[in-house]
Amino acid sequence: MKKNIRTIKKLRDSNEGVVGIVVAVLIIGLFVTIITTIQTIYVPIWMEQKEAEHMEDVANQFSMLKYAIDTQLITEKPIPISTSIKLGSKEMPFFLSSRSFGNLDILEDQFILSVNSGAGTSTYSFGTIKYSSRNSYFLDQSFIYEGGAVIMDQYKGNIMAISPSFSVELDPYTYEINMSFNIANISRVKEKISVSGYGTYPIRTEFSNSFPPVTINGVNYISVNTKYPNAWEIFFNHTLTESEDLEYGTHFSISGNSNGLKIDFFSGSVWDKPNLIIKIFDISTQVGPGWI
Amino acid sequence: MKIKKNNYAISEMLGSVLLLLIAVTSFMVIHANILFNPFPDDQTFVTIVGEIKGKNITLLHKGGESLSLQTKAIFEIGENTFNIIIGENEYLDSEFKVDGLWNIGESLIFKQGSDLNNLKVKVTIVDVETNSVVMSEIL
Repeated sequence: MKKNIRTIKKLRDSNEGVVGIVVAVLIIGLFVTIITTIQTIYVPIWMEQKEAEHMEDVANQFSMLKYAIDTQLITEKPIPISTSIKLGSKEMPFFLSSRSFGNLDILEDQFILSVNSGAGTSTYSFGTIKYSSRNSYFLDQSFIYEGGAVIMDQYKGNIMAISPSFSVELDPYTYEINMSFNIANISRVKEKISVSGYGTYPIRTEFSNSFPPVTINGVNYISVNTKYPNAWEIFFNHTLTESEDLEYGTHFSISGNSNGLKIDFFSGSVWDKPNLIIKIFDISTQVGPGWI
Repeated sequence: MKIKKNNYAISEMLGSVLLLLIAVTSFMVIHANILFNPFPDDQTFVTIVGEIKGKNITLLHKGGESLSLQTKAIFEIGENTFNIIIGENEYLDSEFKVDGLWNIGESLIFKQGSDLNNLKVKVTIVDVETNSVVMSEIL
């Protein structure tokens, strides 16, 4: 018993190994502090930067998609073109971070254009291509190819990133206003209409048909049914007022709500209501591996 | 000879060397994988485009993060410099200011009394929340 007590006392008084333990604790403490600082301060900033850069990449890829479709509209030949879209971005190695995902969908009847004139109302419906991000650090954005335009949509609003093929001409002698609108209708191919994930997926577009141009004289109003009325309102207002010096309130007015907008045209003492030439092209579109 | 045979504190020394090795290896791994990136500053990711329309300078928010109404805009027009706070006066439409932010699709108009077409116009926008320049362009 006495021997045991003496051994315990001897162990208590021993300082052997203290330095090693202190060094271990200090190194682990330093390690944990550095990792925590990087994890809580730098990783979110790096990831936000990464996701913002990915959104810029998607914007560039959508501009390439529009370029491909515009080329097909000009050539009117059934040559398929694939444009790749990167749906998400990867997480950071070794640290806790989330990767971002995205959806790519081909949607039908998303953009509806109605043109009213003395001859009645003509209605046209168009499909769209939509990319929606699911980011973890940067704000979510969507890019939409709609009516020949590329629109960027995010929480709080939307804006036209690339304008469609819409033009206005005012004849300086007859004061006749002629508008022209070339629109690509995105049509779906069977079940190849949606992909989701973070990889890079190609969209395959192919010219399939073009319809003869339709001329509508004396347009009373153009009604646009869309989920992105703000983008279209800014575009029409900007194009009509700046391309040919038409005056808001004198030649036209725009009213909008959350489902779309309406452009009313007015005649005056020297000018009549405008004429509109619509040309529609059909583009077969599919996403995902394995073309049909 | 006696000292040579003494192995007192060898385990402590080995432990310290091992810990040092672990620490050095860990920091090398962190440095090689993570810290090769420059240390980031807090940034605001926003796209703003500007244009001159006669006597006015128009800046359009074209996507990205919303900016506070305390954001500073510096206009260098010819030899003159104008510093403004975007939420002040009527630079932004009153309906745009309701939510206290400059959002996508909203335009800021800086009006001048004279035609700007033959002048050098430089616009710099500084987000005061992150203290970062979000736009610096010659229009």
